Amino acid sequence: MIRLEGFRVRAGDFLLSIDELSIERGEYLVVLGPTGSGKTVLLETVAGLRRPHSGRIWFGERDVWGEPPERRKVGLVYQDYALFPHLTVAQNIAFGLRATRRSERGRAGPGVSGSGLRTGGIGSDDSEDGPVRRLAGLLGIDGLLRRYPEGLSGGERQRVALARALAIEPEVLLLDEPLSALDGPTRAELQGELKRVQRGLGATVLHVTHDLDEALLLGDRLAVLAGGTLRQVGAPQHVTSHPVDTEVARLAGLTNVFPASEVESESTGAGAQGTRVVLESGHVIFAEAAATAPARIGLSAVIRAEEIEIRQISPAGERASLGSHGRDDAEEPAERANVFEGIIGEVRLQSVHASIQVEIPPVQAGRAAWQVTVHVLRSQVDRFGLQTGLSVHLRIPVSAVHICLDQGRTV
Amino acid sequence: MNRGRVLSRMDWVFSFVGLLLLLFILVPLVATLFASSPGEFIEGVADKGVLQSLWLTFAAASVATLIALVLGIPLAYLLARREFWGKSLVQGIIDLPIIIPHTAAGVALLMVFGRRGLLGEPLASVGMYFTENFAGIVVAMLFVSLPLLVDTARESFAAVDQRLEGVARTLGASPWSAFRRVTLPLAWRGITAGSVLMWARGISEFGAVVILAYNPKTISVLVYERFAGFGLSSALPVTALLLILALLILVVVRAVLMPRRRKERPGRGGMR
Repeated sequence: MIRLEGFRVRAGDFLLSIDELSIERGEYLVVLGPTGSGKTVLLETVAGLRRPHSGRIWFGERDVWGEPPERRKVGLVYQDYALFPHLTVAQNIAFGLRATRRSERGRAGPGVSGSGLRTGGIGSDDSEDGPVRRLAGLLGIDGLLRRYPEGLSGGERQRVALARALAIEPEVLLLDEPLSALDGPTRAELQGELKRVQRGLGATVLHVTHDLDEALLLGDRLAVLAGGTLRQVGAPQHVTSHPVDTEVARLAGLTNVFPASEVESESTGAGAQGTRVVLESGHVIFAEAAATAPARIGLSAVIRAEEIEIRQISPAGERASLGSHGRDDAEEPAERANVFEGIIGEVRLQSVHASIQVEIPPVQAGRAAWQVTVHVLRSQVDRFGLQTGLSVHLRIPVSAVHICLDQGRTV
Repeated sequence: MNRGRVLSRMDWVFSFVGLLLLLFILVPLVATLFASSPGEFIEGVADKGVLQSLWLTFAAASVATLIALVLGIPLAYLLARREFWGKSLVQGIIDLPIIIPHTAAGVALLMVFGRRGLLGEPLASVGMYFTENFAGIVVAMLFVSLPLLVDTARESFAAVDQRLEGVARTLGASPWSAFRRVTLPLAWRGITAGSVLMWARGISEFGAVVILAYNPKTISVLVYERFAGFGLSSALPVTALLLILALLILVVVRAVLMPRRRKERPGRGGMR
């Protein structure tokens, strides 16, 4: 288990501070953060290449604070792999095997002469062969062992870098945006590979990235890093649906983030608590009971775009396809919904879903209209004839609305 | 490379001006090379004094280069990798010998290594002398040509991705081992080129050498002596020999510095 406590690292003017973060043995933790959030600094400090200004780093029961990188047993993989260009693939993978064995031998027997080490090095090529072949086989690079990094593709280099890091059987594998430099298909292939290898070996992984999809796909847990501090740690699904603040919401790819001017608890009848939110545009929506204290300014409402239902307002006036308040209440009394009328501004097709911009008219003349983004499966665009200019009903379930701190407007 | 490009009038004017400069360098060299007949050349060069002098010069330049390698590589590495107070001052001091007139450098060295110099006097008492001998030539060459080696080595170290050292460390290599197994092999090409440059610069040194050691005569002192004592025609064959050697060195440096094209191409298996 890796554990950081009261961790502060300075890098120039930048300060990375993490009060507490732990990674269980065999866990795949992804740290999601924008460029400049301190991701690389975090990895380099855990690796021992930077010294933290204060705090402790535990590898199990061992505090590695003052330990040099060569004693920590961490596998580090950089975005551009940092392979040794003067060594073959096999030599790259074997690099750590040789160094580790040497230092172990050095500790065991102090009387090893320089020339003795050299002959030992040559002789040990045979014993390195086994692990190198096994790792190369695991990562599907058996055919590349005699090649130099220069001629390899990005995906191949990545596999070599992984094999090299895994060769030392690291306590933790540190991955710094390992897939960012790859093209789409190679990347998808390697994402799967990474997870498979990690599960197969039971490796503990700390992976940093700015890519949300990567984070969701690979992470057992997700930690969001922004501006040098850890904002939120939790299950990927939870972090992305219940961000603690607007910055996390933005990083989690949530597009509907609206500053609220008033947030108040209200009883929704039948004893249930709900939250009434007045947006800055003047629109009123209802949310689940907010975890944060109500009636504070500096809050925002986040609406999960994929949970909004959208239906055409049929010319014949049969609005039943969407459901009126009355009908909803009848069917699912606990689930209240916010219903708005609007006009589709734009339909943007994406790989799996379509992103639909809906403009909801201002609450009164002179105020701003409200732009809401709705995500639907692409197939639904045709099925419901969704297109620019269409009048629609939006049904926003109360459970799709989440209240979080507004990073831009602190109290 | 320029295929399809229209050459403007400016390109023609610039080319012409550049050509003038090339001729300014080449004409004197070529004229010197062809000034003496092959017979005169062989006669002038196959002199025992010339061969001895050449040998002496090469040996002294080699020793100076080796000393600079041992003492200069650690400093070059520090300059490339670490930030420390007074770094630019250190860099400036290293480059001083380039801008000091070389006769002045010779005089300054005499103040230290002369028989009554700061170091020269105590060392003389244990029988070590640095004037009018091989050691004096080495000291003079080392002083004036050291910046070439340190600067090229520094640049070569700086060109090695620092993260490679970091990765080597995480893979279990000590700082020494990372330096030996990663940094040095990757900077080797530049360091070699710097050594050859320094060596060549040492061979051509006159000003500082002549003040510390007129005798034994290095090759440039010999050329000067022949010119001053016996006239131009007597200096020509040795001069021509020096030019040929310099050209050879240039070719070697180029060959070393040229990025080695891997025999290997993507899609083809390893050739080793």
